[in-house]
Amino acid sequence: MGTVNIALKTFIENLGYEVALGPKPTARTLNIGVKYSPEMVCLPFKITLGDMFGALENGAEMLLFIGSGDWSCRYGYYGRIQCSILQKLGYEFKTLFIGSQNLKSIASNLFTMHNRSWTSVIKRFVYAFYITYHKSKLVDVVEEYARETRPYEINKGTASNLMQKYLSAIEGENSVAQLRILRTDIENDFSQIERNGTQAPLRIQLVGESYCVIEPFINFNVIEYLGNNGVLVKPFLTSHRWLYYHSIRKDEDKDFSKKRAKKLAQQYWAYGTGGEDQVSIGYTLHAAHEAYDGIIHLMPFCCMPETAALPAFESISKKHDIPFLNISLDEHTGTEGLYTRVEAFLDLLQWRRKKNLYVRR
Amino acid sequence: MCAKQSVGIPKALSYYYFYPLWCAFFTHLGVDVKTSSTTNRRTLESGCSVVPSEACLPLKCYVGHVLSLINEVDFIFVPRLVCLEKNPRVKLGCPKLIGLPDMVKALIPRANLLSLDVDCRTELEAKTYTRLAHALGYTSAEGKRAYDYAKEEFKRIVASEKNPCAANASKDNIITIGVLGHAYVLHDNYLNMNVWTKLSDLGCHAIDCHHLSDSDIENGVKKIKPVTWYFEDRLLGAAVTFRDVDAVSGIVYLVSFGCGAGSITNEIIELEILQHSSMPFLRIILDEYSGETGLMTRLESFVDMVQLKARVLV
Repeated sequence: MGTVNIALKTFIENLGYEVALGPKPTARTLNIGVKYSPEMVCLPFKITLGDMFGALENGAEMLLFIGSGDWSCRYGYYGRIQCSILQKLGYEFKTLFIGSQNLKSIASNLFTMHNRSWTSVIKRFVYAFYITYHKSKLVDVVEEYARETRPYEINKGTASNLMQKYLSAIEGENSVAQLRILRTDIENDFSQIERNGTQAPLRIQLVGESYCVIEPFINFNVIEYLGNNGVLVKPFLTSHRWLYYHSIRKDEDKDFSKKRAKKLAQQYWAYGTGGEDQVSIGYTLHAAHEAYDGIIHLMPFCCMPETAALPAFESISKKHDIPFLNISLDEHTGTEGLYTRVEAFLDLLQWRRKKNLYVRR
Repeated sequence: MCAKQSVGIPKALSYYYFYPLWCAFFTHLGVDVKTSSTTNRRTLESGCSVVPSEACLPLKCYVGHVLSLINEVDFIFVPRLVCLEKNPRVKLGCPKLIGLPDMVKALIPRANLLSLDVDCRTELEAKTYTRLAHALGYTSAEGKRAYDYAKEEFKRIVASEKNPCAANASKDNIITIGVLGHAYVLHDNYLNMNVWTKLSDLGCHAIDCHHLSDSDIENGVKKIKPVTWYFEDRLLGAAVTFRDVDAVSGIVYLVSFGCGAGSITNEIIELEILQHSSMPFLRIILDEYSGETGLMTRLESFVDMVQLKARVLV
């Protein structure tokens, strides 16, 4: 899922496991995932299942399954069904379900691995947590720099290349001191990119289901595409924030936290049901108040919570007069189709600006 | 007290589970209850024209019913079923049931909604109903009394409909088929395209999973890993019962297109419940374009197969 893998890999490696990452999702991942998934299930299920085939081929002995617990969304059943599907196909692996209800089994697994010593487990855990936090934070910083430089750069692609370069550098690093040095390098390099003097680029808020917003493979790297087309895009969620919100409930965005988003969304969507629907609505309202030019909403086809919340998004768009584009992604979505829709949306936003239909609220 | 108020209950989704309770509650309070007419092509079409196309079939149908009631009553009753059971495990409604009033409000702003948030995690069900009575201008005591009466009435009506599975099975020499699905699909003959008549025309005895006794369902639920959705949990319990009762020789599962929970429960039935059993299983996906002949053909071939199997084994 996006760049979450960098942080998670570090974390698990530092706990003493060897990580067999599947390859980055490709068309093959998707095809194999789609082949063995139930047809009506949502896209993230299919891709993560495909990823598991990749990981098993790379020699994984134990699979970490996500999703368990009291969820109203299908996400809570991912691990259970994926595990059954893989076992039915005859794969052999050990399983570890990640979730609040399984903390005991996770702890006992760690305990046996570290020669039955709790001190060693705790030491490892604290260190793993510490370095993972710094890495993940730095990844977030790089991504943010890239997002905020793209609309202004003269040679398109400079920021993206720089981002890729630093992401792999961060992935290879394993000490906090080195990461700090890397951070100053990043700041220098990004500030040296030549700027084209654009004054006020279009601003778009990206909302929707977390996986679709974060994973560039399934949203066809729409963040980069928008940036290269001169749009300052702000996703409501990034890998780093997703990871830290869901693991320790710490929200990293200081300007507008998830908690505030949820509160703001109350009148339109009273209960959060999963897939970040309530938070998305909060951010949509926030974007409307902050006079963003438009909202792009990404969701997997037939996503339960986001489909249900769709009318709420549309009514906000009408009430606050802010253009709203809903894109539902599935395995049949094509690059060109998606980009054409986004392009048309951008034309509309430009036209609104020209006509001065854009009123500050 | 002002002139007699009227409340409309759309005949879709949760209507098929809780109508007796709500009807008794409102009538005891002294409010007129009006339900929309049974689903027909017009209802579904008007619903489809408003609801986003990706939403599930019963939801489109629901909004169609709301639209048909809009000029006929003072309030339209749109409940929000968040958490229906707290012990021993939390059981939730699906996201669409949780967001229903928000969704209807966003789709039809002119509708005058009366909502009820059933959330056992935060407050008792009785209190929710007293608040509802308040919203209609009655006192808490009146609300409490109406709720107690309605609860008793509901229990009585529901109990009278339910029978143990073994007693439900046919005594004659015809095959028995267990039918699974949400009540709002199985009891709405427009959405399920008269599946009951079709099955009986084919010479089968069909058992509705909602008419199984509570003990049957609870025993079934105990045998599998539970799910968090309230209705789906009971549905899986019924599936286990159908598997274990000898008299049942086949299972038909009706899912509506776009039903998110359906895609998961179907996998659980196939991979966990029926994995080591030879029970024939047919899943039918319904949407607003399903043709009746398609359904007929599939049911016919399924029944043929089940009959053949029965004959070979005998």
